[in-house]
Amino acid sequence: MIQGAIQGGWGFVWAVYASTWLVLLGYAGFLVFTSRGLSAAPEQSDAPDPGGV
Amino acid sequence: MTSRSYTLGLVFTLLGLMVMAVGHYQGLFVAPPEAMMGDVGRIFYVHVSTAINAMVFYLFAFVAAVVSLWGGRRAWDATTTALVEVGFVLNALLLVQGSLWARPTWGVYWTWDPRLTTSAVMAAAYFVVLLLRRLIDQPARRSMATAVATIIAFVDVPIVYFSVKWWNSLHQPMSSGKTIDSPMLVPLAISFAGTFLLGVGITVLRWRTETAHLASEAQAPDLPEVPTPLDFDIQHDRA
Repeated sequence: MIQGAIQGGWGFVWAVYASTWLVLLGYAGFLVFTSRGLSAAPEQSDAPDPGGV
Repeated sequence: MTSRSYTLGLVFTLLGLMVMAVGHYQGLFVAPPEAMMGDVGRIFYVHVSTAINAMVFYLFAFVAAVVSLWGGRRAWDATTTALVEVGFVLNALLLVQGSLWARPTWGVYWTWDPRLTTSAVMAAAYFVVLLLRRLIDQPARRSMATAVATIIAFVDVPIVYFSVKWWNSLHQPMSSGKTIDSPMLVPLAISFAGTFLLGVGITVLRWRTETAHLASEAQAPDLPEVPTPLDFDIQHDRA
Protein backbone atom coordinates (compact mmCIF):
# COMPACT_ATOMS: atom_id res chain seq x y z
CA MET A 1 0.00 0.00 0.00
CA ILE A 2 2.87 2.33 0.82
CA GLN A 3 4.65 1.51 -2.40
CA GLY A 4 1.45 2.14 -4.30
CA ALA A 5 1.11 5.49 -2.58
CA ILE A 6 4.66 6.46 -3.54
CA GLN A 7 4.17 5.35 -7.10
CA GLY A 8 0.95 7.30 -7.19
CA GLY A 9 2.84 10.32 -5.91
CA TRP A 10 1.16 10.75 -2.52
CA GLY A 11 4.33 9.63 -0.77
CA PHE A 12 6.22 12.53 -2.28
CA VAL A 13 3.37 14.91 -1.48
CA TRP A 14 3.37 13.92 2.18
CA ALA A 15 7.16 14.08 2.28
CA VAL A 16 7.14 17.64 0.99
CA TYR A 17 4.44 18.88 3.33
CA ALA A 18 5.85 17.05 6.34
CA SER A 19 9.39 18.30 5.80
CA THR A 20 8.13 21.86 5.31
CA TRP A 21 6.16 21.82 8.54
CA LEU A 22 8.98 20.16 10.41
CA VAL A 23 11.50 22.79 9.40
CA LEU A 24 9.24 25.80 9.84
CA LEU A 25 7.74 24.63 13.13
CA GLY A 26 11.17 23.75 14.46
CA TYR A 27 12.69 27.06 13.46
CA ALA A 28 9.74 29.08 14.74
CA GLY A 29 9.59 27.12 17.96
CA PHE A 30 13.30 27.57 18.56
CA LEU A 31 13.02 31.33 18.08
CA VAL A 32 9.89 31.65 20.21
CA PHE A 33 11.77 29.89 22.99
CA THR A 34 15.10 31.69 22.69
CA SER A 35 13.77 35.21 22.16
CA ARG A 36 11.36 35.07 25.06
CA GLY A 37 13.44 36.12 28.04
CA LEU A 38 15.63 38.68 26.37
CA SER A 39 16.16 41.76 28.46
CA ALA A 40 14.56 45.00 27.33
CA ALA A 41 17.88 46.83 27.12
CA PRO A 42 17.85 50.61 26.88
CA GLU A 43 16.97 51.52 23.34
CA GLN A 44 20.34 51.13 21.67
CA SER A 45 19.09 50.19 18.26
CA ASP A 46 19.66 53.68 16.96
CA ALA A 47 23.13 53.97 18.38
CA PRO A 48 25.83 53.98 15.76
CA ASP A 49 28.44 51.30 15.96
CA PRO A 50 31.25 52.34 18.29
CA GLY A 51 34.01 51.47 15.90
CA GLY A 52 33.08 53.42 12.78
CA VAL A 53 34.30 52.16 9.44
CA MET B 1 13.63 46.32 22.33
CA THR B 2 10.56 45.61 24.43
CA SER B 3 8.28 42.69 25.07
CA ARG B 4 5.95 44.26 22.51
CA SER B 5 8.23 43.00 19.79
CA TYR B 6 8.05 39.52 21.27
CA THR B 7 4.26 39.66 21.32
CA LEU B 8 4.23 40.94 17.74
CA GLY B 9 6.55 38.17 16.60
CA LEU B 10 4.56 35.53 18.41
CA VAL B 11 1.24 36.74 17.05
CA PHE B 12 2.47 36.81 13.47
CA THR B 13 4.06 33.38 13.88
CA LEU B 14 0.91 31.79 15.24
CA LEU B 15 -1.30 33.55 12.73
CA GLY B 16 0.98 32.48 9.92
CA LEU B 17 0.93 28.87 11.04
CA MET B 18 -2.86 28.87 11.19
CA VAL B 19 -3.33 30.49 7.79
CA MET B 20 -0.69 28.21 6.29
CA ALA B 21 -2.49 25.21 7.75
CA VAL B 22 -5.73 26.31 6.09
CA GLY B 23 -4.01 26.82 2.76
CA HIS B 24 -2.25 23.49 2.92
CA TYR B 25 -5.42 21.69 3.94
CA GLN B 26 -7.20 23.17 0.96
CA GLY B 27 -4.32 22.27 -1.30
CA LEU B 28 -4.20 18.70 -0.07
CA PHE B 29 -7.89 17.84 0.24
CA VAL B 30 -10.08 20.46 -1.41
CA ALA B 31 -8.35 21.58 -4.59
CA PRO B 32 -8.78 19.34 -7.64
CA PRO B 33 -5.85 17.21 -8.85
CA GLU B 34 -3.66 18.91 -11.42
CA ALA B 35 -4.53 18.15 -15.03
CA MET B 36 -1.23 16.50 -15.99
CA MET B 37 0.47 15.61 -12.72
CA GLY B 38 -2.56 14.45 -10.79
CA ASP B 39 -2.20 14.43 -7.01
CA VAL B 40 1.57 15.03 -7.21
CA GLY B 41 0.63 18.50 -8.41
CA ARG B 42 -0.54 19.32 -4.87
CA ILE B 43 3.07 20.06 -4.03
CA PHE B 44 2.44 23.21 -6.07
CA TYR B 45 0.73 24.97 -3.16
CA VAL B 46 3.60 24.64 -0.72
CA HIS B 47 6.47 24.88 -3.20
CA VAL B 48 5.36 27.99 -5.07
CA SER B 49 4.43 29.89 -1.90
CA THR B 50 7.80 28.98 -0.34
CA ALA B 51 9.67 30.06 -3.45
CA ILE B 52 7.93 33.40 -3.83
CA ASN B 53 8.28 34.18 -0.15
CA ALA B 54 11.99 33.37 -0.22
CA MET B 55 12.47 35.96 -2.95
CA VAL B 56 10.24 38.47 -1.16
CA PHE B 57 12.27 38.20 2.03
CA TYR B 58 15.48 38.49 0.04
CA LEU B 59 14.07 41.68 -1.45
CA PHE B 60 13.33 43.02 2.03
CA ALA B 61 16.86 42.04 3.06
CA PHE B 62 18.25 43.97 0.10
CA VAL B 63 16.38 47.10 1.17
CA ALA B 64 17.49 46.66 4.79
CA ALA B 65 21.08 46.16 3.65
CA VAL B 66 21.03 49.38 1.65
CA VAL B 67 19.66 51.27 4.66
CA SER B 68 22.19 49.58 6.94
CA LEU B 69 25.05 50.56 4.66
CA TRP B 70 23.74 54.09 4.40
CA GLY B 71 23.02 54.77 8.06
CA GLY B 72 25.24 52.33 9.95
CA ARG B 73 22.63 51.73 12.64
CA ARG B 74 22.75 48.53 14.61
CA ALA B 75 19.00 47.96 14.27
CA TRP B 76 19.27 47.74 10.49
CA ASP B 77 22.19 45.36 10.74
CA ALA B 78 20.06 43.09 12.89
CA THR B 79 17.13 43.47 10.49
CA THR B 80 19.26 42.56 7.50
CA THR B 81 20.57 39.47 9.28
CA ALA B 82 17.12 38.33 10.32
CA LEU B 83 15.69 38.75 6.82
CA VAL B 84 18.62 36.99 5.18
CA GLU B 85 18.32 34.07 7.56
CA VAL B 86 14.59 33.67 7.03
CA GLY B 87 15.03 33.95 3.27
CA PHE B 88 17.76 31.35 3.36
CA VAL B 89 15.65 28.88 5.33
CA LEU B 90 12.86 29.28 2.78
CA ASN B 91 15.39 29.01 -0.06
CA ALA B 92 16.83 25.77 1.32
CA LEU B 93 13.31 24.45 1.84
CA LEU B 94 12.28 25.18 -1.73
CA LEU B 95 15.29 23.26 -3.04
CA VAL B 96 14.26 20.21 -0.99
CA GLN B 97 10.61 20.55 -2.00
CA GLY B 98 11.52 20.96 -5.64
CA SER B 99 13.80 17.97 -5.52
CA LEU B 100 11.06 15.78 -4.06
CA TRP B 101 8.64 17.07 -6.67
CA ALA B 102 11.11 16.44 -9.49
CA ARG B 103 11.50 12.76 -8.72
CA PRO B 104 7.98 11.61 -9.64
CA THR B 105 7.56 14.16 -12.45
CA TRP B 106 10.96 14.26 -14.16
CA GLY B 107 12.35 10.97 -12.91
CA VAL B 108 15.34 12.58 -11.20
CA TYR B 109 15.87 14.43 -7.92
CA TRP B 110 18.10 17.02 -9.55
CA THR B 111 19.04 18.36 -12.95
CA TRP B 112 21.16 21.34 -13.96
CA ASP B 113 18.17 23.18 -15.26
CA PRO B 114 18.43 27.03 -15.28
CA ARG B 115 15.79 27.54 -12.61
CA LEU B 116 17.20 24.87 -10.31
CA THR B 117 20.79 25.92 -10.84
CA THR B 118 20.18 29.61 -10.24
CA SER B 119 18.12 28.77 -7.15
CA ALA B 120 21.00 26.72 -5.79
CA VAL B 121 23.40 29.58 -6.55
CA MET B 122 21.04 31.93 -4.72
CA ALA B 123 21.09 29.70 -1.64
CA ALA B 124 24.88 29.49 -1.77
CA ALA B 125 25.21 33.26 -2.08
CA TYR B 126 23.09 33.93 0.98
CA PHE B 127 24.83 31.16 2.88
CA VAL B 128 28.02 33.11 2.29
CA VAL B 129 26.36 36.18 3.84
CA LEU B 130 25.56 34.20 6.97
CA LEU B 131 29.03 32.68 7.00
CA LEU B 132 30.64 36.11 6.82
CA ARG B 133 28.71 37.12 9.90
CA ARG B 134 30.20 34.20 11.78
CA LEU B 135 33.73 34.89 10.63
CA ILE B 136 33.99 38.61 11.33
CA ASP B 137 34.14 39.78 14.93
CA GLN B 138 34.50 43.53 14.53
CA PRO B 139 30.95 44.92 14.60
CA ALA B 140 31.46 47.73 12.09
CA ARG B 141 33.30 45.57 9.59
CA ARG B 142 30.82 42.73 10.06
CA SER B 143 27.90 45.07 9.50
CA MET B 144 29.40 46.44 6.32
CA ALA B 145 30.34 42.99 5.01
CA THR B 146 26.86 41.69 5.70
CA ALA B 147 25.23 44.60 3.92
CA VAL B 148 27.53 44.48 0.89
CA ALA B 149 27.28 40.70 0.55
CA THR B 150 23.49 40.86 0.84
CA ILE B 151 23.30 43.46 -1.92
CA ILE B 152 25.56 41.42 -4.17
CA ALA B 153 23.66 38.20 -3.48
CA PHE B 154 20.41 39.87 -4.48
CA VAL B 155 21.67 40.08 -8.07
CA ASP B 156 20.70 36.42 -8.47
CA VAL B 157 17.11 36.85 -7.32
CA PRO B 158 15.71 38.38 -10.53
CA ILE B 159 17.83 35.90 -12.49
CA VAL B 160 16.06 33.05 -10.70
CA TYR B 161 12.69 34.64 -11.29
CA PHE B 162 13.21 35.20 -15.03
CA SER B 163 15.27 32.07 -15.69
CA VAL B 164 12.32 30.11 -17.06
CA LYS B 165 11.60 32.96 -19.44
CA TRP B 166 15.17 33.65 -20.59
CA TRP B 167 16.36 30.08 -21.08
CA ASN B 168 14.95 26.74 -22.21
CA SER B 169 13.94 25.22 -18.95
CA LEU B 170 12.50 21.93 -17.84
CA HIS B 171 10.89 23.84 -15.01
CA GLN B 172 7.32 24.98 -15.41
CA PRO B 173 6.95 28.54 -16.81
CA MET B 174 5.85 31.36 -14.53
CA SER B 175 2.27 31.08 -13.37
CA SER B 176 -0.11 33.98 -12.93
CA GLY B 177 -3.70 34.62 -11.97
CA LYS B 178 -4.62 34.24 -15.62
CA THR B 179 -3.02 30.82 -16.05
CA ILE B 180 -4.27 29.20 -12.85
CA ASP B 181 -7.86 28.12 -12.36
CA SER B 182 -9.56 29.67 -9.33
CA PRO B 183 -10.02 26.37 -7.42
CA MET B 184 -6.24 26.21 -7.41
CA LEU B 185 -5.58 29.92 -7.06
CA VAL B 186 -7.39 30.25 -3.73
CA PRO B 187 -5.36 27.60 -1.84
CA LEU B 188 -2.19 29.03 -3.37
CA ALA B 189 -3.05 32.54 -2.23
CA ILE B 190 -3.87 31.35 1.29
CA SER B 191 -0.66 29.29 1.48
CA PHE B 192 1.34 32.25 0.28
CA ALA B 193 -0.28 34.55 2.84
CA GLY B 194 0.30 32.07 5.64
CA THR B 195 3.95 31.56 4.75
CA PHE B 196 4.43 35.32 4.49
CA LEU B 197 2.88 35.99 7.90
CA LEU B 198 4.97 33.21 9.41
CA GLY B 199 8.06 34.68 7.80
CA VAL B 200 7.29 38.09 9.27
CA GLY B 201 6.81 36.60 12.74
CA ILE B 202 10.04 34.63 12.55
CA THR B 203 11.90 37.70 11.28
CA VAL B 204 10.72 39.77 14.24
CA LEU B 205 11.78 37.07 16.70
CA ARG B 206 15.13 36.62 14.99
CA TRP B 207 15.61 40.40 15.00
CA ARG B 208 15.11 40.29 18.78
CA THR B 209 17.81 37.68 19.30
CA GLU B 210 20.22 39.44 16.99
CA THR B 211 19.60 42.84 18.56
CA ALA B 212 20.17 41.40 22.02
CA HIS B 213 23.38 39.76 20.83
CA LEU B 214 24.69 42.98 19.31
CA ALA B 215 23.76 44.99 22.42
CA SER B 216 25.48 42.56 24.79
CA GLU B 217 28.50 42.53 22.51
CA ALA B 218 28.71 46.31 22.74
CA GLN B 219 28.49 46.15 26.52
CA ALA B 220 31.03 43.36 26.92
CA PRO B 221 34.17 44.25 28.88
CA ASP B 222 37.33 44.82 26.91
CA LEU B 223 38.82 41.49 26.07
CA PRO B 224 42.10 40.85 24.29
CA GLU B 225 41.30 40.79 20.64
CA VAL B 226 41.93 37.52 18.93
CA PRO B 227 42.38 37.85 15.19
CA THR B 228 39.86 36.03 13.08
CA PRO B 229 40.58 35.11 9.47
CA LEU B 230 39.19 38.39 8.16
CA ASP B 231 40.46 40.75 10.88
CA PHE B 232 43.86 40.86 9.32
CA ASP B 233 44.91 44.35 10.36
CA ILE B 234 44.56 44.03 14.14
CA GLN B 235 47.79 44.94 15.88
CA HIS B 236 48.73 42.71 18.80
CA ASP B 237 50.29 44.17 21.89
CA ARG B 238 53.66 42.54 22.01
CA ALA B 239 54.55 43.70 25.51
